[in-house]
Amino acid sequence: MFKNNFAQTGRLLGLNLRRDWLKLTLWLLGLVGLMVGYAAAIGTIFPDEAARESLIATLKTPAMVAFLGYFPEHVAMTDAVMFSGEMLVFMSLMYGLASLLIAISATRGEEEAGLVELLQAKNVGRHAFLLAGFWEVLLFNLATLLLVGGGLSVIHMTGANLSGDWLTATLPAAFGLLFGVVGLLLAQVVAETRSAMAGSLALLGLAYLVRMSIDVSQPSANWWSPFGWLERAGAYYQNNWWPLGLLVLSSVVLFAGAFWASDARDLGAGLVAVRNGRVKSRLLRGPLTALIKTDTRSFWSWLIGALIIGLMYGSIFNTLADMIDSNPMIKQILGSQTRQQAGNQVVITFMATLSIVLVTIAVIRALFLANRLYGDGQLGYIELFAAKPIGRIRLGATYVGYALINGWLTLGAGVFGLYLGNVAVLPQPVAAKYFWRMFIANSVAVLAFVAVAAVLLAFAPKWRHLLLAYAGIGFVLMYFRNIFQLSDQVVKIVPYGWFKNIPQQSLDWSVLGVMIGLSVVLLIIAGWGYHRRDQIFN
Amino acid sequence: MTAQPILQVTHLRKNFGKFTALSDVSLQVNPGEVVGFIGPNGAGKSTTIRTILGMLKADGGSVTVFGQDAWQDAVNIHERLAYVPGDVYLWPNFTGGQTIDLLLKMSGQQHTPRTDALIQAFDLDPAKKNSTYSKGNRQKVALIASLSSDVDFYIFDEPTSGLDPLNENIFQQEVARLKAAGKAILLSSHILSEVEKMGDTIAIIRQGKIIEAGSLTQMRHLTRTNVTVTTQGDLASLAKLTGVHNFHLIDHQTTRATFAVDSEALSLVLQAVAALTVTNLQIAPPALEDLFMRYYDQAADPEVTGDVQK
Repeated sequence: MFKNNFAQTGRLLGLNLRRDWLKLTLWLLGLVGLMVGYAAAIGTIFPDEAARESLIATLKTPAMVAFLGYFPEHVAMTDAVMFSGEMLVFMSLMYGLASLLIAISATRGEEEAGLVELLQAKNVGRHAFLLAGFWEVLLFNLATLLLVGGGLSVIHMTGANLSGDWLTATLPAAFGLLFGVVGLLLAQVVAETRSAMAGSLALLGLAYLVRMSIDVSQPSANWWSPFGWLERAGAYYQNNWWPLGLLVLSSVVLFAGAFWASDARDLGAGLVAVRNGRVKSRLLRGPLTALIKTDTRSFWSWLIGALIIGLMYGSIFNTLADMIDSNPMIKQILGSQTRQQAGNQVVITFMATLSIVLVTIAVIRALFLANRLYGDGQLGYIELFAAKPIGRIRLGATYVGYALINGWLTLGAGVFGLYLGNVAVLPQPVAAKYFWRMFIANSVAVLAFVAVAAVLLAFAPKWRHLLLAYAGIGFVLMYFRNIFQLSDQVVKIVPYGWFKNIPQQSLDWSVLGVMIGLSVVLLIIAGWGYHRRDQIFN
Repeated sequence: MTAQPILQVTHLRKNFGKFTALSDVSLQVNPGEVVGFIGPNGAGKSTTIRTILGMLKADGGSVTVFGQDAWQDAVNIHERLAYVPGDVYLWPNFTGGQTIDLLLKMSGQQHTPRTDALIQAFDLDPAKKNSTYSKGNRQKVALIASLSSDVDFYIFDEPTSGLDPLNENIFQQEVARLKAAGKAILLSSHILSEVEKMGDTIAIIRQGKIIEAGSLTQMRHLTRTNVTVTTQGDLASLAKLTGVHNFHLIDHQTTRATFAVDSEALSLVLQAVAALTVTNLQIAPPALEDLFMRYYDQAADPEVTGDVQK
């Protein structure tokens, strides 16, 4: 029985590690590098008291609490406490992401590629792939634990203690394990890699969103999200180990669930069977409608997700003014001149920082969609279109246009959510025109990103993922520019750096006009390039 | 054959970077003609077809379909053409029925009673999602959409690789119907017998080059007839005749032998055999497969083997 289920797990694990070594190493270097590197640098980045106080004040603003997590009050602010407050939630998000991607590709990914069928015909146990996937995730997280724990003990930040160092190393690893197991479970439940990824990412995102909304309103209730458990540990100042038990316990329960699902299903199928559908569709008639139909689920997820994030940020507008009153440092950081200005001025200034969150979400959505022009070619769909009386320009424009419109819709949903939250909580809401400014200026940035993406797709599709990295860098630059005290010139390397004071300033059409003009030129170049290049599939 | 050919490929060349995928491909398909396009895996069949479809741009030579340039006028050409790719991948969350209709609509075609008849003939459940179909069923979806299109030129890239013999048979009947209706058909395959059943002309491609092209009857002339004979006289002298190859004595008896004869030398050799008083004679038809194998594997013995007794 044992042999039947788990035979050759060790050998599979070896194969997995050999195949994934580059991916695993890169993730490991990235995660450990960020943790240990920042710990080593934290003492030198903020040497003087003024810089530290300004950082602490910034970290306590709702925008930062929403993004990085709850920041403890009434605790002596040592480097170590600051480190755990800044890093634990965000890095755990990254650990979770890495783990679930590794877990799903090692199980459902293998199965979709036909490898499981090939090997299960040999004397490989029924659940060997599942167990090997688990071991891979566990080993990966154990490696981060040892490296980060060792690194932190050696660095020994001011205010650090051994228990805190190891807790800070263990928590994200346990969190990674938890979401790795979530990935394993979903890979058993649904029949496609894509659905398993989408589902696990949605759960990770949901946990993050729940924590976000709790942290900005009522941090004491944050045990509703696994992210809250990390904050509950109070690394370096309370050093609670029980949240770790909670993480491990949930991992065990979910892994048992994954086993049950794996046992109950057939090879190649999920627990949820794919149902039959209608024989006819009134919608489908060409590439655009095919794209819309394949994208339906993502479409609503992104739109609703953006709306919720907007709503959440909007619903803390009323607490902003109070907070500014109580902390002069925050006023300085947000860059508002005086508190004497009209009451909502603070909120409007705050909106400039928020818009970077909303536009980044929109840009990522648009880039994912635009890149499908290449991805769908790999999947063989483009070949079916290209054999029909459909011009290359029309085909390219369909994907790029759909990406652009969706970027705008996602941005619109986020801004609209922000507006709704603002109307709901403020006695005198911020006027709609500020939201319009925010939307119009940032939609030009979305256009610029899509135009560059189109050029890459036409001339160098291999480099298409670079833009995602660029969007990520742009986000960090803009969101943390006050913390890092970046100059105006630096932030101008990303499109939104050119109108960073929107919405309190009115739209500068000379800047926006140039950006639109450049984008149009890029789109034309992309169209020309796409028209004349070979359509390469698989 | 005086009418303009549907497809005219002349000295087509295609490089991918430094790699030469096609070095010299010439091909012609006329109305009412089925051309078998044969070659081993990786010989350049799909690259040629994708160039014909205007997905790849020729680096040299010309490709015209209906007298128009395959790259420049792709959209016009595709209105009158149907294509089934070698690997059919379909949108996972559409049903088979929806996919067939989508493929038809994009070609400007209608879902006709023929479509329904084909769905029935191929025994496809159109309510199932594409993600649940096997390779053969995905191929059927693409085949049904193409076969029920009323166009002038059909291109099938290894169309029966996933089909069972029953469905393969239906496909062959459909091709015969299209041929009778005067349509032009290009059929790529690496299995000769499949093409032999449907085609009248074949072109053999190897390493990006057409190495042999012509009608099947012409091709048969190029091959050798296999003869197994038992005589009363001594056969050993036959081995020295021109046109006789692979001469083997059976069981070391000088009165029983097997050999291959060039088509043009056949009557002369048979006269010599008759002179030795024949007691048993078996003549096997020219096996195209042998010729084909010879082209496939140049490293192998260039002689056509006479091993047809099995």
